[in-house]
Amino acid sequence: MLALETNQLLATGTAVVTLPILILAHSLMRKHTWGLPLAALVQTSCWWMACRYLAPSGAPLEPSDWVAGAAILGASWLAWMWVYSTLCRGFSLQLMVELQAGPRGRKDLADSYAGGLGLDWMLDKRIDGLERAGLVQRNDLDGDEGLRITPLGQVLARLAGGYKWLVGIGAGG
Amino acid sequence: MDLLVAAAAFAVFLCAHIALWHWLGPYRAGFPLLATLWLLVTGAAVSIPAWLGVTAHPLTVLAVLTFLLALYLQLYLGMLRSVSLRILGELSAQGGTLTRETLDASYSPQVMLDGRLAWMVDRGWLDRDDSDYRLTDSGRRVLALRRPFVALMVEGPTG
Repeated sequence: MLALETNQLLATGTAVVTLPILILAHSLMRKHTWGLPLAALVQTSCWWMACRYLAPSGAPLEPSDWVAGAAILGASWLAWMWVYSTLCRGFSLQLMVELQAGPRGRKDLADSYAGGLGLDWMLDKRIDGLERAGLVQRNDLDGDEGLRITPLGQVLARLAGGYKWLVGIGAGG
Repeated sequence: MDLLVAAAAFAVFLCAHIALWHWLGPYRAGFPLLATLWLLVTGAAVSIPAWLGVTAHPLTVLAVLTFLLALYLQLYLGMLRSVSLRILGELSAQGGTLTRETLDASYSPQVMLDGRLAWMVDRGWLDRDDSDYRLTDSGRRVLALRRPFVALMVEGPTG
């Protein structure tokens, strides 16, 4: 028989219920570099206070209750990070947005991508991100614009390659 | 004990996932199979300890497994779909340096576009007639899910 305890339900339930607080706080701080971690901090504070003050008197939360709540809280951050990154960087989603205006051919889609910025803009945005993360450097290669992988980038590329081989997902992308 | 049960269940999930993906291929296996596998493993992890008389809190096991799945999905989807990681992979495979021209030749935006269009046609989100792609009703439903978040979070071009 599976017995669910009140305090476990309180810890996990409040973690779920506070998800809109994370989204709202992130939307208010979205221009801030630390917007997402700060929003997560706001959500965590609300969750902690709710768990602390809504627990039945004389029966405080046990470590396993806190672990359960924290795990759901962490899962909610990860889920929101995925939604946010898909909204801002989703390639397939953006193609569907372009097709809302009506049917289009492949060439037209490539040219009109992201409000007319085109596919090269998308690739440049990815390369900028890799450069900011210290994974590649832009430099001049025999007069052409070139990219050089950094040692950190090389480590990540090898780890990613190993994982892709292990799960059999090919080159990805 | 809760964490041990969750870790053991996650290890079982990972082994089954790797075996099935090698056998079926990532696109044939897909997200529904991943979700089914997860439900089976979660169901087993929550119920088996109780039958064996092992003291574990089912909700804690469920919560920790949910967190591990969310963490693993970030990794899996990132590896499967990330254009940035693909660029990094191409750079590494070419000895660490690439000109923009070589990158365009080995992994051009057109190749990415074709891959994604074919994937969305397979999912039923797009229809293809002659040379044109058209959004299906199912694709419009996917876009409708995006709308409330866009109003809250997005400024400027995305993609």
